[in-house]
Amino acid sequence: MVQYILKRFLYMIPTLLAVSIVSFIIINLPPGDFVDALIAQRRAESGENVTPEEEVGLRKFYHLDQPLPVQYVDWITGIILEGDFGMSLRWNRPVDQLIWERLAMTFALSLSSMLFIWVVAIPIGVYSAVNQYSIGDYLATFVGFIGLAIPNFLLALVLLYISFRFFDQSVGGLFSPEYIDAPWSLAKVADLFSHMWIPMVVLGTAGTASLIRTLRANLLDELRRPYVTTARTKGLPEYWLLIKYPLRHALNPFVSSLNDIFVNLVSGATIVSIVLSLQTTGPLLFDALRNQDMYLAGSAIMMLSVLTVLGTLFSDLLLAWLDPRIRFS
Amino acid sequence: MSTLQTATPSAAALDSNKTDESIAVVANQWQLIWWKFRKHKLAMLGGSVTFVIYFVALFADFFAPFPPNAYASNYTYAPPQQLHILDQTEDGLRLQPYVNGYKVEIDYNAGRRNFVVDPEVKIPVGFFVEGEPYKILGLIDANIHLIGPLHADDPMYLLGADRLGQDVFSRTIYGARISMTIGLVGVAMSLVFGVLLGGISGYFGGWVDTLIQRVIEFLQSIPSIPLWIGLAASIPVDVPPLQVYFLITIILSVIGWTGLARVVRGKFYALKSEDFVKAARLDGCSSLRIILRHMVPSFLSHIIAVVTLAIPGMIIAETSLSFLGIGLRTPVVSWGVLLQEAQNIRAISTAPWLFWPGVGVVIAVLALNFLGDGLRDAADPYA
Amino acid sequence: MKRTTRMSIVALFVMLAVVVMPTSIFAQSDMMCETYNEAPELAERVAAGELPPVEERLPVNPRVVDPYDSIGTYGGQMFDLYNGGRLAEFRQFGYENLVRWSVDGSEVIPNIAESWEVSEDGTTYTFTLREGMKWSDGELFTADDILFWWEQVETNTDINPGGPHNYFVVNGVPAEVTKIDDLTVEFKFSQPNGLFLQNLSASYGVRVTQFPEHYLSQFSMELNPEGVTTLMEEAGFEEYGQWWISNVGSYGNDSEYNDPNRPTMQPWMTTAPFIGQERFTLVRNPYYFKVDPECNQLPYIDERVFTLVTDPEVALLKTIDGEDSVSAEGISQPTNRAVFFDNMTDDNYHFVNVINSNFNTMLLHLKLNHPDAEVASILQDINFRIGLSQAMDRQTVIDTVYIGQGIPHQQAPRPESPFYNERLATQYTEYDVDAANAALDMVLPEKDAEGFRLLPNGERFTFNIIVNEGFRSDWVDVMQIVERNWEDVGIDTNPVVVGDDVWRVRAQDDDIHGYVWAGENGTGLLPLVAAGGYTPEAAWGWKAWESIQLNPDAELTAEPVEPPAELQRQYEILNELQQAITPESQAALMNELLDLSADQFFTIGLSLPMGDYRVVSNNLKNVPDPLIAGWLYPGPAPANFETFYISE
Repeated sequence: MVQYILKRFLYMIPTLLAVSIVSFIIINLPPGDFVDALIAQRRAESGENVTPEEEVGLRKFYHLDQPLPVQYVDWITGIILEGDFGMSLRWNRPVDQLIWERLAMTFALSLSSMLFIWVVAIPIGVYSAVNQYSIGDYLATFVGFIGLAIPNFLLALVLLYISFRFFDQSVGGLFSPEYIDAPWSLAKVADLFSHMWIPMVVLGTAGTASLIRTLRANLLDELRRPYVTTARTKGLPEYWLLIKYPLRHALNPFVSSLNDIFVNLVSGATIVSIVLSLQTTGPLLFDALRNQDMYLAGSAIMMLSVLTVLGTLFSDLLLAWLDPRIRFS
Repeated sequence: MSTLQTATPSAAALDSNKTDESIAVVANQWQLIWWKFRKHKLAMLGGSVTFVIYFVALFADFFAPFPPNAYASNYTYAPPQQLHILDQTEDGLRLQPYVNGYKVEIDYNAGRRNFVVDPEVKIPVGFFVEGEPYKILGLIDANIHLIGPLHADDPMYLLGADRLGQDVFSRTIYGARISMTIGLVGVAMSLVFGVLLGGISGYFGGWVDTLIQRVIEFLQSIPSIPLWIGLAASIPVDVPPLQVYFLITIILSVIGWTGLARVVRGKFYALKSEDFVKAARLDGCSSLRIILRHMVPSFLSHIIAVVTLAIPGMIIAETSLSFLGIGLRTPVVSWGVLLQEAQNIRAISTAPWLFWPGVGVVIAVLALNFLGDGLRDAADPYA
Repeated sequence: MKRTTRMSIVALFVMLAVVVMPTSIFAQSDMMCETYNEAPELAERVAAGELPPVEERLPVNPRVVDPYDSIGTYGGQMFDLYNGGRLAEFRQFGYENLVRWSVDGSEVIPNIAESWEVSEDGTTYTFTLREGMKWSDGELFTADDILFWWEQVETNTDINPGGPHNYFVVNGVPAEVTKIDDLTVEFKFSQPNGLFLQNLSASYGVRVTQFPEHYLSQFSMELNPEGVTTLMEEAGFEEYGQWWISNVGSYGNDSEYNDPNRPTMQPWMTTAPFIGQERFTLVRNPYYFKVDPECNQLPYIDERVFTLVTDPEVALLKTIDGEDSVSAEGISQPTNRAVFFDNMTDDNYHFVNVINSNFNTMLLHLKLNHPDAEVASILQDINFRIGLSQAMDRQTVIDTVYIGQGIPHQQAPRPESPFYNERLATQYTEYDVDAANAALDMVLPEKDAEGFRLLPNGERFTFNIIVNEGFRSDWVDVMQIVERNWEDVGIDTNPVVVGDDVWRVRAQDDDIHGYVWAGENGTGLLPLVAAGGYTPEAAWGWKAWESIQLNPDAELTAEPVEPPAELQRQYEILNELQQAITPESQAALMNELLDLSADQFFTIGLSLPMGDYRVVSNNLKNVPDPLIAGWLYPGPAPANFETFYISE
């Protein structure tokens, strides 16, 4: 077991190196560089035009006059040797600082919406499988899919407008202005929840449908297996019969797809965060990509990739634990 | 769709799901699937609605009263008109559909045109009227539209107008054309890749598995939004926007198969020690045959469930790409583009009718999901 | 982006050229107060011995500011939303240049400088600072602070890679900046610099007065090499320039205001680092050097509260909810006016008119030196441009996209400007399809079966225009209509819509024939200082030619192409303008330039922008109506935030 995990960690190294190269290429795929974006932005903000001399100076300042491989080596050696993720060109600040200060809120948001999904979806999924074609099954299907069918950005905007129109509360963000700097208190927690419900519902409804359906489908498969019939004939109580094996097996493919759990924790909810003006990592990365803020974008992609790889490992281990048929060689 | 064993007796004898075979032995599997499918009311409904949407999308030129980009300066943000079927005239009621005209004035302080329905003005409306010429399926010249004003210049906005006085009803119909068709390619490709490579990986194990797993891990560890932006931005300027989207869809699906592949692999690991697989191997079946013929059918239901959610997922993804500003753009008319245009407080508070394309998305996604759901259940007719 | 663009940076917002008289001495005649009033909170601190009395905090001759409407009362908070872009955007933050624009933008008036003197030949500018004027930490503001900026920031190419800004450079030679005494500083140019005061009043002038020498010398590599090296190591920086930008800032960097220990001349000051915060508060500067006519020290308002809101729709709702005292420019869009109107009540906010200094909603800049010679000759043919212009149904565009607000207009100063040139403004603006076809027939007579015009080589001419949707989404709508107008006269038009991230590079693509942009800086005498804006912008080859005429070693981004004689004359005028020092000579040159523009008609315009607005909280007083928006006049900052006050 330990050996297996060690081996997986070793495999991570080439994967991540490849990712670092590919992500660097992706960032540089769009035409132009950060200076182009900067100049265009200045022009749009202020009608300010930049002379060729200044443009050359800016490129030099940001080291964009170096060939791409040199830029890449500078960046990657910084990460490996010094744990230095580089500077954000746009914010003139260390990348890890920028990401770090947004992590808490990102985690809070992702965890709460994940819990929401599980709490809602697992019971509904089991119910709908056991009571296939009942009114309850149809209802659950319908409700589950409604959440899936409405684009997130649209639902977020509508809920935002509803909270503006019908609840007397400060819209957007996760806190009302007066609580942003305030120390933690019961009132602040209450304020957090009064804002958190919108992103939670938006993210939650989108996620529940797929979980309900996958779970229902798998469970239906399992319930028809002979061992279930055997167990039933042996007089096992129905709920125990359900939980003991079929549910565990039915969760199998679901666990397989859990590997992006960590990534979702960090990067999920980009769109919802943009609409609701939440200061999570998603919009930060999105802006960095669009402005070709390459070290911020590159390092953010790298961090996400590490999390994905760890998530895959995590899901594989969980899979093994749930289903003893899967062995480690 | 040969889920089970009727077609392949040797496998049938070995499959674990043979319990109900004796009852259904007289019907072939497609009949069984159809019988089963019929029982699923929501799926029947979903199937019919999906059919209708595709039909309307195919003949959008006929169903839409106006071209999607016909602007009218005097009717920006005009609210929907009610369609009256019967006209109350001096001679009593008669069958003459009409809509009421508007009184329009510009209110500079409010920054908009104000519309008041003018009950005096009746704009006669007809079915199968002549209008803007078009080509049926791009081939046959025609100019008949399902519904339209009898005088082509009269305003008729059944679902209101957008900021340029373009007809929301027509645009929603045209939007279906792109949104409903696009992405099918992506899903189909994901499916083929995912099942094949996931199957190989799970079936063979060993170094093949390791290699494929590493590749999958690698592809999966590249977050999708950066990839979208990178690819969208690197496509040359003179490529038509529609092709741009197809390119992105295809590239996305090349990455997107990985999720399915992992799921399939997990299943294969579990299945390959099952008796029926061993038996097939002893029978001398080739590996590919065992994967496709014996193992895939045994968890087809799961694949159908995943694909079911993938097609509407593509429709939603299209809207998301437009929202992020990296998908299709105006003047292309897709539901995503239309929703992106409506994604603001101005629309939601003063022109909620701009969200009709959103209703289109919801209906289409629901219908496709119910359809797929029914298919999933029906594909397992012995249950 | 040779000569012309340089001019548009150099050139600035002037409303009255009168100010630029040679040998002019401008001094403020201030009334003297025996005693001054101050905010109650400051009075308490004086009583507690934490602060010197207000008379000692103010300079001998404080700047007296007339409030727009009424004398205010102390207290309250002003709210702002910022969008996560440049926070230290002084148009929102504050505007304390050496000299500045008056509120209406009609003249340059004293600010941190009490007075100035200009030599007869227009080469030497001498500024006198206020005696006893102090930074927010109580240290004196002296000529050394300005020299520190010049020597350690402006001319330091580690920090400012492009070298001194063009405001401070004439014909390639930077100014000499000299300290005469503690309160006197002199800028000497090698040749006349007729627009220097206007330039100092504008955006870039903001940096001259924000580098307190007594505090910042510790961060200078030259003055404190060991200390700086240690600081850089601690912060993990390898390069001085990047470290400086990140910690002290140069221009448009948030770090300029982030350090709570750094003294400022602004009415409000930072109390804690705000970078990375979602909300922060600025508090009053107890040493602020301005008073109202009744001897009350400014500012009236206690605190300014800034909240980060990245999404414009959320910002709109928050503004309606009263979380922003003056609506931000980005959300005060025509399309949102209806939303503001519907949510307006007696006690939330009201509309304030805004004068937009733009002279055109959308200009079409053609790539006149397109690398394909055949295409270039078509774009350079005036009949092609006349045809395009006459084929545009401008009134329909205005009615549809701008709800009737606007008048058809070309690349010409606004009618309110003394440089308004009727011929230039109105030529070829009438919608006339026959005339358009006639003009185009002279250039591209052949058509294909579908009625589209063909190139001489027999291929269909597809006219690709790039549109920056990220900057202005209304252009996409405009181009949808214009596209059909042009197709009606046989030009197969293809608007290429892109986001602002890739716009700049895409515009340089050879498949692109032109791009659209706003016509900026068209009010008052502004065209004079932004004169480059009236020559063809996307004529990169001609501009490169002009660049090497001025400086044979210039950085070139395009192959030089010799421009036509009239355009060469225009380029000459741009040079002569910088050195012209009388209003009459400036006006004569400007009018000649505009006439040449009209003759050549290189750039096609759409309409004159009208109907701009902001919403202002009803409890916020002294907000001028109209407000002026712009960049060279950095509206709304010159509206004197320090005189705003809160009244319930």
